[in-house]
Amino acid sequence: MAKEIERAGIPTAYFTAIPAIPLAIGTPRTVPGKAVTNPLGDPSRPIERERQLRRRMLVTAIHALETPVDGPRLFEPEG
Amino acid sequence: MAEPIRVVHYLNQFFAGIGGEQEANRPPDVVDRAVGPGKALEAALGGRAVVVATLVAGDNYVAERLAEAVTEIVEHVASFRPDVVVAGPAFNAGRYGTACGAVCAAVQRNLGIPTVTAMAPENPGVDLYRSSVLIVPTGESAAGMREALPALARLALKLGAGEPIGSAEAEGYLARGMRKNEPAARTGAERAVAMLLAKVRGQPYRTELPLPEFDPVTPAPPLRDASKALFALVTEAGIVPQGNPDGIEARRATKWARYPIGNLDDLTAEAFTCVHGGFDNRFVHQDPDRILPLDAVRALEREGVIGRLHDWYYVTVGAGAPISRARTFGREIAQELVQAGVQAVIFSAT
Amino acid sequence: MRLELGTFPVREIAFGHRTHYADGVLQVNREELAARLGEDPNIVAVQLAIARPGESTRIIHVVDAVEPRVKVAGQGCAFPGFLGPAQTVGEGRSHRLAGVAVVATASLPGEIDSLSVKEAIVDMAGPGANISPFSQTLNLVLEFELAEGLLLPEKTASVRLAALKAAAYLGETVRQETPESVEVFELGPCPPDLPRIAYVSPLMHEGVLHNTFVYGVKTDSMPTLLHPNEALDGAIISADYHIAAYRSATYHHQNNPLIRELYRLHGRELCFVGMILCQTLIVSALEKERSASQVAKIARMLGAHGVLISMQNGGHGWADLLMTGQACERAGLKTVLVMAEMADADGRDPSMIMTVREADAIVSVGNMDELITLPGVERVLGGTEYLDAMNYEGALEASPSDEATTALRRLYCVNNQLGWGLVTASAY
Repeated sequence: MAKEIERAGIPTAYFTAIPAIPLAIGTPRTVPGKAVTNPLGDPSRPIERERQLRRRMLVTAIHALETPVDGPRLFEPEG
Repeated sequence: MAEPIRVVHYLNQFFAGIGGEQEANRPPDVVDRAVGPGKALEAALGGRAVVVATLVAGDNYVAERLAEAVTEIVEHVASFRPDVVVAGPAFNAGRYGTACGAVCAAVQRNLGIPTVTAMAPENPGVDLYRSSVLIVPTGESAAGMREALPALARLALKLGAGEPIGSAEAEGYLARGMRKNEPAARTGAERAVAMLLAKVRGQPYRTELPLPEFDPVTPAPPLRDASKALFALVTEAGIVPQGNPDGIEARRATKWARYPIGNLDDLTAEAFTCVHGGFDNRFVHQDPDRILPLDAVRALEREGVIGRLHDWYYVTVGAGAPISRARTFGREIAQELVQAGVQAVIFSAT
Repeated sequence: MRLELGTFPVREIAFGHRTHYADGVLQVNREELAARLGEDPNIVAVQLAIARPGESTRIIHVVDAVEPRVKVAGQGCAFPGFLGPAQTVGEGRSHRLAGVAVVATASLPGEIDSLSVKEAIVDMAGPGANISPFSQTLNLVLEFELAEGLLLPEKTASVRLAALKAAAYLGETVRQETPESVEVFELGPCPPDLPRIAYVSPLMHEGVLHNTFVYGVKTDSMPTLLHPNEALDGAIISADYHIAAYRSATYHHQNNPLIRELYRLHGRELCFVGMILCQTLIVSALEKERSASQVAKIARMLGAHGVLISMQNGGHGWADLLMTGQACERAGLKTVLVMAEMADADGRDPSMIMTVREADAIVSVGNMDELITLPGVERVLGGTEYLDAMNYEGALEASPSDEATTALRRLYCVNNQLGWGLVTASAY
């Protein structure tokens, strides 16, 4: 699905806990999620720090959206 | 003795022995017997089938008005009530191969009569018609006629007799891009150990599941300036309002939906739930933002890091979804997003 | 480790006054067995019935199938960790009743954390039977009714334990008897020029509902080394209630066809060096990578030249399988994978969710999305209506006794990824 949205000309940051799959099938902009059960969260953290984590993941996604790519690429969070 | 199987054979002007390029504009013509390679075909059919008619059309005539010419040819075919239609072999002749494929596809579709053709794997007719038409691979030129005809005849006899057709490998045609179940002679375990022993010993082995190819996509150009862009949230992880108002299925979902979030800053467990049936949803039930990160996106919007968030989010369930369906949903959602002027998408899967 | 497995073929099964085995006939005291299983307060009622090959009978809501066993000599019991201490098994002597299965059924609607028990059907005759492992066994079918107010995992736990108890109860009939034949399983020395082969068995583990138990404990650890005899001797118990077609029943672990085939050729064409257990459906990328890499490491430490990797379940678990195969190939080990396909009803969807270049040797156990039409039947065991009417595309709304068309996925173990069956898929 993310590939089709990219195909329509809208850059799409794809969060998944299993980046091997989108990298293998050709999704352009993949951002690693934490786990299948909680891709954009971490239940072991207090809520405020979990929100900070989510924010950092989204900043990575925005970076991916602003980056030109020519094939499937994984964007790891910085720091 | 059963009635012989009735075969109609399709040829171009060249193989029918009428002439080369100078005759390529000839309209379809009917001969009530085997002609040219049709004679060798009939011999290969071994008396169980007869070529009741040969249809001949010029390459250019067909190429220049494909739909119209094919309709004419199909009408002729119908008048002979064949049990099977054979086209070609076309070898590497592009116009001829395309005509063979088009005639076969139309005969199957419109008359419900089985067909088989033959051409070189690199013939453009292969790409156009292999998904629906049985195509026997041949060499590049008519020098391959002797090898092509027996395979073509064998398939024609089976089709004409209404017998089931086996796998591409067993029957010698180009695979139509389809997987079908069939019984094996040995158990999976026996086959697996035998395959491994061959591989370890450096002997030839062949996988039973060639790796599929996934269609490539040209990535969208990057965002110029996130702080001015309209963002949207899309997920295939089944986050829906409590009560699942559209009844999105937990696996192999048949629909997608969109729900308003324009006046929300956070997804609460009271208002939203997760219906994805492919993973343990415990943590997401506690806080749906763990999949659809509305709280964090709103914070970034307030700070001006991103321009604005679209008032709707889009959702389906990806578990067990056929790729063809995921593609359709993706296209439909993309169309709405484009119309809404969305410039960037945060897409969350599991 | 040396395991003797004595076989008592069962040619007929019947209810009678006394539970015993003689001359190929297994007689079962229905009331006595029902009373034993009813000792669990979670079990409100249990019905017993017999289903034989060729009968116009459909069994629905299948939860597990177990081969009756008894541990005759050596430490442990028939199902260690469940019916006795979690002592290592695979040595000494065990007896099996062959050609018979305890088939546990229960209607288990509802869900927990969005996970649910999926419909699982066994047909004893017709096209569904041709591909079903349990259409060829004499089945003692147990239909359980569970108490109200229990969580789904509590219900499955009770059914699981009851099925094992029933299998052990039947196994007791041949404790003192002399088997018709005895197989010996021992990884004896091999000529040094034979290729060394390790078997890798990923086990299902998803949330609190779908699991595989090893010695009574759920698999969620790092990859570990097992002697294949342990699997053959009851150490691995199925608790996978997800898609029926590609499940492995406890019966399949007890008679793992890959282990049996590797043993058959051991010392002659190959040297079987051991069995590596790992998990499938691992939830984070890091753990997936760790698992794949650890499997390859253990196989190398065993001196393996080749590895055979089976599979349980699917979905993103197939990513685990492919990544494990990739890690093994990158470690220089020749690898073959056994897996089911999910290619949609028309077979035109890509069969796999992803690919790795290294997966160049795959055994396909068939496309579980292909449709099959099951005929109407005279008798239905296990329940009165299909389970998945609500949350699945193409819900089966017919009465279970009527003709119905379904994807293979609802047919119990027909695409078993331990390589039990004869179903494969080919390019058409």
